[in-house]
Order: sequence, then C-alpha cells, then structure tokens
Amino acid sequence: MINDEQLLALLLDDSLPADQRRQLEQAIAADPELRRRLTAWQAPLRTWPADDSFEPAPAAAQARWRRALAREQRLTASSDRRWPQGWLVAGLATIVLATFALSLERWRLPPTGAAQQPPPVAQDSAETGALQRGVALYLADTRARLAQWPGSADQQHDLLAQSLAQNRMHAAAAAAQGDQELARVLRAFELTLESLQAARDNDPAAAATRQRLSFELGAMQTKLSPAASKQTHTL
Amino acid sequence: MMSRRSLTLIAAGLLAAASLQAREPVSERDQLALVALEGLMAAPAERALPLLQRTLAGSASTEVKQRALFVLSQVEDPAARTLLLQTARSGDAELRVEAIRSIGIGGDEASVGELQSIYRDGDAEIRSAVLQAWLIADRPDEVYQVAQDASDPGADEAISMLGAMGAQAQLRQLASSGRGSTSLVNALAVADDLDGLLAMARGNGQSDLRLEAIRAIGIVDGEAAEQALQQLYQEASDDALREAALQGLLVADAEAAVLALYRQSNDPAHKRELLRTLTIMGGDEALEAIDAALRGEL
Repeated sequence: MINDEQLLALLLDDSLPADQRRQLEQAIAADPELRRRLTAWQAPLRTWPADDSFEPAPAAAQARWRRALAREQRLTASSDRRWPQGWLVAGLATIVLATFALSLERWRLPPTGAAQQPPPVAQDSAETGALQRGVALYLADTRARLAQWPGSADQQHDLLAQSLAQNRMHAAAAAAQGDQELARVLRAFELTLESLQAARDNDPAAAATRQRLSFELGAMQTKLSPAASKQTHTL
Repeated sequence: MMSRRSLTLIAAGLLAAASLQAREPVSERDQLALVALEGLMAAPAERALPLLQRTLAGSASTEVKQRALFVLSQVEDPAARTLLLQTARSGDAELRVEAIRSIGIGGDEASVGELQSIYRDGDAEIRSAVLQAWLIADRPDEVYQVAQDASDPGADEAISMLGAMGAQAQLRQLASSGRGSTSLVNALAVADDLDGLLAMARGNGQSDLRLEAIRAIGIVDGEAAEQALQQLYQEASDDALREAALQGLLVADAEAAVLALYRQSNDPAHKRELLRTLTIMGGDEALEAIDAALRGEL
C-alpha cells in the first residue's frame, strides 16, 4: 500500500533513496489509481499562482487604507519643497501606522458595560478563532496580490503598503491575544515586506524574496486552515 | 508591544542579504517540492519531521531546503529544534541564515538563547541574521547586549532594532550611558519615546544630536509630542533650535500648533516662516491663516 507520505517523498524528489524512488515510479506508471492520487497532489500547482479563491478585505478596512495612503501622498507632495525626505518618510509612515493603531485600539475595546469583567474562556476561544480566520484571509489575500505583481512602481508601492498595514494590524492583534507563535511569524513577514519596499524596481533579489514570501504565506494558510489535521491520512 | 513601526533600515540590510538568493526561476521539479512542503504544514509532526530531515540531508536545491527550514520552524518537536540549530551553526551560508531566521520564528527559548554563541562566532551576515531572529522572537535583552557594546560592528543595527521593538527601557539605558548617536535618536522616535527624546533635546549633548532629537519628536504619535514641539519652539534660544522644532511640527502635521504659534508670534521673520510652513501643510488652518494675513488681520 503506497500512502501519501511516500507520494510526498516522491514530490520532494531527493528525500527517497534511488531504488525506492524507481520502484515507486514504476508502481505509479502501472497503476492508474496511483496516478490519479499523484495528480491530486500536484493539482494545487496548476492553480498556483493564479489562485483567486480569496475574498477581498472588508470595504471599511479598504477605505481606511485608501484614506491613509491618500494622506501620505498629499503630505509627500507638499513636503518635497523643503526638508530632507527621510524625515518625512518616517513621519508619514508613523501617520499611516497611527491610523491603523487607532483602528486596532477601537477594535480591542471591550463592549459597553463589560470593561471590568474578565472575558469568559469561551469568548477568548471565539476571539482567537476570529483572529485566525482574519489572518488566514489576509494570508490568502496577500498571496493572491503577490501572484498578480503589478508592473508600475506606484502600484507595487501601494500593494506593499496595504500588505504591511494589514500585517502589522494582525501581528499586534496576535500579540495582544497572547498568540506569540502567530505574532512571531507575522513579525518575520513584516521584515520581508519591508525589505520588498526597500528594493529597487526589477531587483532580482526582490523577486526571490517575493517567491519566499508567497511560499510562507501559503504554508501558514495551510496551517491555519480548518482542514489542517493532526490525523494521518492515506490516499 | 513589538514591531509596530517602520523597519526600513533593517529591511535594507535584509534585502542586501537576500541578494544571495537571487537565482534562476524555480524549476518545475522545485515547484512540485514546494507544493509538497506546503502540504506538510497540515501534517502531524511525527510524519512531517522525517520528510523534512530527508529533504535537508538530500540533494534538493537550496531554495527547497530553505523552505523546508521554514516548515521545520513550525514543527513542535525537539528533533526539529536540534536540526535547526545544527543547520544554523555550520554549512551553506544561505541555509545558515534561513535556519537562524527559522529559530526566531519558532521561538523556542533554548534555541533562541543558543543564538548568542552563533552571533559571537559569525561573520557580518550571520550576526545580522541573528539580530533579526531576536527581533522576530521579541528578545530585546539579547539585542541590547549587542547595542551597548560600542566596539561591536552590529551595534547600530541593534539600536535600530530596539526602536522597532519598542524597547524604550533598553533605549533609555543606552541614552543614559552616553551612547548618543543618530541611530539612537531614530530608534527612540520609532519606539515612540517622547520623554527619551526630550531628555536628549534638552540635554547637554552634541548640538547636532539635540537638533535631530527635536526633529524626531515629530515622528512620535500624540498630542503630547505636538505640545512639546510647540514649547521647544517657544523656548528656542537660536534659529537652529527653532527651525528644528518647526520641522518636527511639519513632520507631525500639527497644523493647529503651527497656527497657534503664528498667532502668538510678534516677530515678522518668525511669522513669515510659520506662514510658509502652514502653506506647505495645506490644511484648513493654513487657508484660515492665509486669508487672515491677506486681510491684514494677523
């Protein structure tokens, strides 16, 4: 019986000894059912990176991001006349972040009348579930956006700015809810997104960084997926 | 609270390190392996670990091995942590950097602690990767140890990271020990430490750093920062200090504060400068001031 572990090993190429690999390939060649199962494993590749099965961010969130970006552009335009740009960039980044920090704080406020009440365990679980669903949506959204990497520098900047803002919001929420594991991963993504923002156009290193980020977004999406299981399955 | 601010300086270093990763497009075989690795994220540790071990020990491409290290960071098993540490200590430089990053992402206390010896023995690239791993794992004390050693070539990067981590206590400790530098001013601003910046602005340090600290207050969130800049403008003893406070107000986009200063000022030269600043800001307050100036009311 060939199980999914062996098929995964085959896909991982070098993780099987040559003789086992040969035997497995022969078995697959001779068995249509095995070929079907291998094809099922390969199926995600055909849809990647053109996976558009994500839902866009909520309209209210998009509106906030657009306002922050518009403000940034206005201030950048008005500041070029005088002072070193570095100061303005740093200041503007703070303004954008402040907008999100503010919205995050609002989101974290307890409901009226419950300010002094410790939240029940069930509510914690619900919040954690909501956070993970929100993060999963963000991961899918960002991965799809990276797959459709725009040609113009302005669009690239906007895409990265929006992704960074979402990433920071989710990282802060994860830390606030004590989900340090998720917070660490999102902090790593933040560094990656920042490095992409700092990259010049057509930088080959940036392309490699995007590929890495896309993989890691997908990997975390898989981990957070409700379908992720601790059970072993045999194909 | 961790990493809420721009990490541009750190990211620039990260990208420089990533230049090593620039390579040919991923082959079809690698793409299949990457899909398989992604699938392992949903597998139980006891199943995923042997596959990851074989992938790392085999002749897969560097890129596939790097991705395997990320997946390994998510496997909760002592053997996974041991493998990450082994990879971080020796072998291919790109894999070492990725393993160090993965240790930070994994966040295991003992493994993150082991990074100190890797930092000590590493070259510039490895040291930078360790600092990033500490940032990811939210370990300001380890970063501080590097930052406070002026002879350490990674000290400036470590100071920037403390800012990104919002590690105000460690930054103030640096400031009080006389470690004045542009990196420290920037880090205090990024960490939103108004009191730390005010101490530098009003201290007896180098005049250039004092001016930088005043400008940097504009980056700090909140009304208190605007009020502090307004006060610094009013108490400025020379043009440079006044100009720095005004620059801080512009960065903070504090139109109301600038308008208040404009109305209070009796010095024609200062009034002109304040009005120019308001016009650059371009908001309602600016129009109000321009209108009043044209009518000769202010």
